[in-house]
Amino acid sequence: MSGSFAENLNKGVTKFSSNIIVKTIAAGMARLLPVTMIGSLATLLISFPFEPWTEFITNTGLINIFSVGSQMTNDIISIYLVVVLAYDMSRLIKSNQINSILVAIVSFFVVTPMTPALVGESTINVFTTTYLGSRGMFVGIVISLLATYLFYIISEKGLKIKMPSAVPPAISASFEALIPAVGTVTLFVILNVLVGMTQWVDVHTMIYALLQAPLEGLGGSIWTMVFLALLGEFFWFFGIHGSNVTSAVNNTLFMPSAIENASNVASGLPATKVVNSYFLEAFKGPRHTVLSVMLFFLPKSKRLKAIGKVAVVPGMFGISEPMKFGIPMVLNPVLLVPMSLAPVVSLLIAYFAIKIGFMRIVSIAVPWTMPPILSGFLVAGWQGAVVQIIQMFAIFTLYIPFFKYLDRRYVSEEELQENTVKGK
Amino acid sequence: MVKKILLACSGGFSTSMLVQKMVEAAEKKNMDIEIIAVAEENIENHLDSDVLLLGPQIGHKLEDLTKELEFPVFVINMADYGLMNGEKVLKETLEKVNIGGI
Repeated sequence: MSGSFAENLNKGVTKFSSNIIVKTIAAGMARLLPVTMIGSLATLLISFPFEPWTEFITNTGLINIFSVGSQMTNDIISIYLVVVLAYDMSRLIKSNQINSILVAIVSFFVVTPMTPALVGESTINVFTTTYLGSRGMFVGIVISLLATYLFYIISEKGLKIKMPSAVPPAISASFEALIPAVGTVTLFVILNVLVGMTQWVDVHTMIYALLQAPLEGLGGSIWTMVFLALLGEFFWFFGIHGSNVTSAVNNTLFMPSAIENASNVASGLPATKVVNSYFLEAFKGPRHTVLSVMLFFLPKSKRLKAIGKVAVVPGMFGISEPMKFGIPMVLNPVLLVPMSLAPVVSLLIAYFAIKIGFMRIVSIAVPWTMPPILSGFLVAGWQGAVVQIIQMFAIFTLYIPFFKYLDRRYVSEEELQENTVKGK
Repeated sequence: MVKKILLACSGGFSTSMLVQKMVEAAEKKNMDIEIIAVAEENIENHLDSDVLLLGPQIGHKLEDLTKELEFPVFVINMADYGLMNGEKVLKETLEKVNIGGI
């Protein structure tokens, strides 16, 4: 391992993760958690893997009350996405936050088509969840970032309205303050009119055709997910928080499918997207739990025993840092193979289990700190728990030869040290 | 005098383990220091801190944060982080900041 490679990698990662768009999407998507959790809780209550329960809520009509929790979160997720992205981007570029948020929401609605609907006797125009739900997420990202940025540029440029000198400065200032907001929204109104003249008819359709459709191919593939998981472990090998670096890409590619599934299940439709971010969170594999338990029970070396004591409880909840830096796994060629392959094998096992019809498609988010077996059960019933147990065996099998080798090496190092101390 | 030490990592989980150990170490020495861990996106809610310590796994954000913040930023040593050696991290942080003449 050349130091220069690690340095260059670190520089590259620094460059990537300090990019304003990457930073905004990573932070903003993380901030959506309370909203997606409410949606997930609703979906969980509706699809809880216990037949008497589902019968009970259907018969009592409770199911309709629960589904509100999904309708008001998953089905209009794009609105919340516009808010958090405008918040984070304006925070990062040091622009006015509340004005950016307002302008971004207005701009998003400006480019969102309304649909005529017949209510009783009269026809009214409505926003449909077709545009505000998972399908609108890409539009939400693009418009929110663009609106926030335009607002900032126009504010910075300080476009002035030439007022006659007789007008008091305070009065001309009050007009100037309105220019960035009015200017930004006007630009989107013009964009909307222009796109209306093209084959796409509206901005949503245009962005879907140009961006989302090509990306959906990538985001729908298990191999993209496996590759990104592998890339994450590769970063970890150099001591860089892998999923922290890849989260912006992961969320952009896989979150819309997760939200779509959750929406569907809560409204009684089947989930169709196998590869999604909720699937990734639940079935990336209980690697840290398995390894920390191994560390607690198996080592003969003092060094690994000490790490085991620190690592086992956090390991239950999926926290790996004590092991990453304590064993260490960072820059440790002995553990590189099992560390890289564990998430790959785990994801493929879970994917296979869904493909053969053993396990249901994941449409529920559990916090990634939820202990395995329980998390599998919550998202996919007893089959989910079984899949996680199979993953545990697979991970154990992957690690054990390398783990034993490392332990033996540490034992002989420790013996050598003791003998030196004793002066043998 | 250091009054508030802020730690940050990706979600604030693993740094919170180290914080526990650091608080114990500070109490042993009767030091009156506030020590907390946050997720990186919430650093800016604690601009009253005297120093920021980053988990080594987000060490690549050092440059960015150093530019952004008015107080010193350090990356925690990997080995100390792995063993959650709160006492040593606290001692070294205080030494570093005091050399910095704060």
